[in-house]
Amino acid sequence: MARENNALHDAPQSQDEAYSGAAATYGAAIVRLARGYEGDADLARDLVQDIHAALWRSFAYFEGQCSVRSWVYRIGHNVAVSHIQAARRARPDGYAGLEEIDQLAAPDNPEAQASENQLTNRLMATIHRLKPADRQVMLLYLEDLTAAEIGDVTGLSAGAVATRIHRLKALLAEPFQNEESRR
Amino acid sequence: MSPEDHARISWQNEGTAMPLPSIEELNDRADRFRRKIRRRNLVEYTAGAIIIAFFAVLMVLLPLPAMRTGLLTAIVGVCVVLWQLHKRGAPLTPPEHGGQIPLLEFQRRELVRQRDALDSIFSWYLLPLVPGMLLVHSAPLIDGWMLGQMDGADSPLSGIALGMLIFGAVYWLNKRGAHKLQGRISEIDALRAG
Repeated sequence: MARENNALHDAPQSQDEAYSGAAATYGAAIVRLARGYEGDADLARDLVQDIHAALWRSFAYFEGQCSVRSWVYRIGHNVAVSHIQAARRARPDGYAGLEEIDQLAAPDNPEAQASENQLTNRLMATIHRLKPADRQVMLLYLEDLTAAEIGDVTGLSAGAVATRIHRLKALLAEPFQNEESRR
Repeated sequence: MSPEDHARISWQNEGTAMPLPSIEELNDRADRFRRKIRRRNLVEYTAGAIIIAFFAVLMVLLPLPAMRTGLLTAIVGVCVVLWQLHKRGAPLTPPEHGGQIPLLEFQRRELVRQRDALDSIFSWYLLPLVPGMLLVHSAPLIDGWMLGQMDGADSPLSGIALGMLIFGAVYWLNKRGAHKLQGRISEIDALRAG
């Protein structure tokens, strides 16, 4: 699984170099992040470009305040939250918290046949239902960040992160439990 | 393999990186955002400039001293409001501030900035405009008294009452907005404490 490229810390870099290194390492994660916030494929591509533009500019202010990984995710989620707010599609009352969801949502695309695709589609459909803070935790957890790193990016307390990860694990185990019970 | 590892691998296999945009493209897109902010500021300052120009023309056309003083006071009030808008108008931006602090802290600081602006609307937006509004509405009476022509002067009370009603509505709407923002700040505080 993707781990931070420590070479990014090795020597002082220009803004362009620092951006290029981070974008190469986290490019795919940024695409997934954008898709987690924006269901429309064209708008998600536009959001990816916005995140890259903000990320490039942000490296003018990067002085090792946190890891590059935390920096990239903070910028990415910030831009994505601004995006859904600006699009007036942020409907806090229409979103659910992790504690309100019993099982992964049905896939956005029910036609998907391959089981792996179907799992990813169900994950994406669930993410699209979540409130911003819970959505951030789920996206970061799926990107392999530890609880401490999730707290560092989001600012959630350790207890709040632990509670959400516990709930997430139960949600992720649900499809397997159903499969077991069908056998 | 645990269910969460399976989910993570499935998830991470899904996204493929798009070709990276060139630095020129990034610069252009970042400039687009800056241009949008500049346009928004320009609209606010242009509106202020039009009001100031309108009052200035009235000052020249109307020879009555109290009315001129009232219009001058109103112009000063509009200038104070524009200066306050300039001082308070810079929001936090993800590129400049977003990486340095956690997401909730970023959102909280921006909400606090907005809440404080709405909550203190009386002192920085309404109060500077009150003296001008009072003087302009009272000017016909004062000028009539100074010229010894009190008979035809209308009472300023209805105009002042209407102005106060509008100011009161603006005050109430902003206070309500500040209260809503405080609710969102409290939600963030609960998330950070929980």
